[in-house]
Amino acid sequence: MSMDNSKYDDLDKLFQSRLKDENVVKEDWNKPPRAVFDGALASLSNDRNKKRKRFLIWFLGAIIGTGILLISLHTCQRLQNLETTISTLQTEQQEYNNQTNQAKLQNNIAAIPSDEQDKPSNNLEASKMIDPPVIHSDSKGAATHGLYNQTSSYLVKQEQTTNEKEPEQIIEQSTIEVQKDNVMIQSPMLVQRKYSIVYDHAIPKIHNVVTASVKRSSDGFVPGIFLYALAGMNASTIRMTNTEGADFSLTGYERYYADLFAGAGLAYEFNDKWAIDLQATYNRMHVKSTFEDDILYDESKEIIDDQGNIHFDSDYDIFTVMGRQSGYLSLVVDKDQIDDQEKMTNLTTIDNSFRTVGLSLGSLYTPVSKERFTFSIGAGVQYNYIIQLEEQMETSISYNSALLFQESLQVKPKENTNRNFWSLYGNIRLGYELSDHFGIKLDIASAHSLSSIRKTSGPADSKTYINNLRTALMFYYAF
Amino acid sequence: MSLDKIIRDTGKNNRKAQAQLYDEFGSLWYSICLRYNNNDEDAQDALQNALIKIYTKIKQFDPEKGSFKSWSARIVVNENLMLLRKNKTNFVKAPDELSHELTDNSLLATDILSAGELTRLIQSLPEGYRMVFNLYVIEGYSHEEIAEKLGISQGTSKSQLYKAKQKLKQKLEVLI
Repeated sequence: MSMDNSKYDDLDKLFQSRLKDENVVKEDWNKPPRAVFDGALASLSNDRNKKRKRFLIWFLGAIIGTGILLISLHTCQRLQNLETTISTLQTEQQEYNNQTNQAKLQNNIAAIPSDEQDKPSNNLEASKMIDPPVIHSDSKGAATHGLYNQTSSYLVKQEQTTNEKEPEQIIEQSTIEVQKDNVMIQSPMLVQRKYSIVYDHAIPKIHNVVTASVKRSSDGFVPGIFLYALAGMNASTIRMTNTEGADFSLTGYERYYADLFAGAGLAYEFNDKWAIDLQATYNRMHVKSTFEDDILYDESKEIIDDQGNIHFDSDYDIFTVMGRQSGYLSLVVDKDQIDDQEKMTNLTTIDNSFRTVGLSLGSLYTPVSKERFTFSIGAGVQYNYIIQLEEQMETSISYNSALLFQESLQVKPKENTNRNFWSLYGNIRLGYELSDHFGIKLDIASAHSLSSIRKTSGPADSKTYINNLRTALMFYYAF
Repeated sequence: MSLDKIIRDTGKNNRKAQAQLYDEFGSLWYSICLRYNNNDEDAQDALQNALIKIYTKIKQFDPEKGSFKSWSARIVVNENLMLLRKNKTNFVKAPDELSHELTDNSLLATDILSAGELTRLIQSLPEGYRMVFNLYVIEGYSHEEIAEKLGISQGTSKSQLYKAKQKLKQKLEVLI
């Protein structure tokens, strides 16, 4: 566009002097009707509503699709676990049968005259060749100590039952070989240890914290939908009530700060202060609990086997997040090293691992908004579903600081787990707008479960709650 | 509140800022619409469409490339041209002649008339005349640019301008 004044005549210049942009002034004749402005805003609002509807349909479809995918994956994993469990039980049953046969053969050999036993092809050797012992390597042998038989091996039995049934169903039975001075020694069973793990309505729950994102101007309401992604760390603690007595209680908890979570959601402002938020999250959490107690050596519990070894047997119970875990310990002892009523220490740590998905709904109030900064407080409820739950237990026996025994067990909790639960949360949030569309927020939230993480049959039952503190960094896009 | 702030908040769909922008520039935008349309109703329709364009495209405004007034006025002009093209503007054929100089009386009349009255004079022109006159005289486009914008020849643009001026001169002489 050129503006060569020489090409204009007087008439042109006179019209320009009144009507060119820079010369137009506000007068009655050019005052625009307010209805035009209202009509334009209504049209813009309609366009935005159409975009929001399209986005909501897309987002809900994504959430539903993700949920179906997660449930499908979880179902497949459970089927695989069931197949593995069945296979393991079959193998262990076969091993148990083999061991029983071997024991019978030994007894038979003992009854045979000695000259016949010297024959090169006796039944015991034949049996060993046919049925070699199966070795599980979850356990480690202890350092040398007077209480411990240096050439021992032991049998571990783990029984898992529910509260409603007696702990009589044998889930796992295996022989464990102890290594001493790099020599593998397989000997007759000297130490026997049983785990009777009772899950009495012990269901873990995960807290999750809902977050929302709101973008606003310091001068007024900024309507819109905010899509965001967030990630951060969970730190969790467990609170237990109505435990069955100090003897059974946990003595400590640890928080794991490295557990990550991720999520996505959308927030919708319905006025300049309040917003409503919908969010889906995937969480990983760990809670580590500790049991520590003294075991008194009791001579009345000594048992002497056929070889003349002295065994010390003891029962104990640990009341954990997952429920009461009962154990039975049998150690071969050296009577020259320990006296009656001397203390041994049993230290057990239990690591509960959770993976959950959650869907939350909450509100957010923003009392402070200056330029690009915002400060908000919020609250809401969240529905959680546990998709995976595992427990890793490690127990050890020590005497005078010397480790006598150490073992690890991994347990997958059974179907008495509460997989669905609700939680309440409150949070504060600091936000900063990076641009017209993008922003970043720091969210600190605390959540509490609304009910016990254990399934309870009455008010007297023990209850367990998980409190969760979460720090999240979230990135949003404003439509 | 500064204009920069109003523009930025308008880009964030801030209703208050949108209203402030309308109060500040609405008269300019409406006067442009009145010049391109021969009645108030069509001018208001054009203004509403232009307003939607300005509000949705305001994030594209770059202050380093010019003033907001020029940027927004260009959008309003283009919106008017688009609407008029939809209505298939009829360009009346006219001989390519030089414009006559105005008499002293005509100059006196334009001096007396207000901007609103001059706008009414332009509104009274046939659509083709009106468009070319606005683009050439008020907006400052060349005949080549006008021909390109309207999809006509330069000769047609010149003839439409000539006819527009003749019509205006006649109307001014009547007013005297």
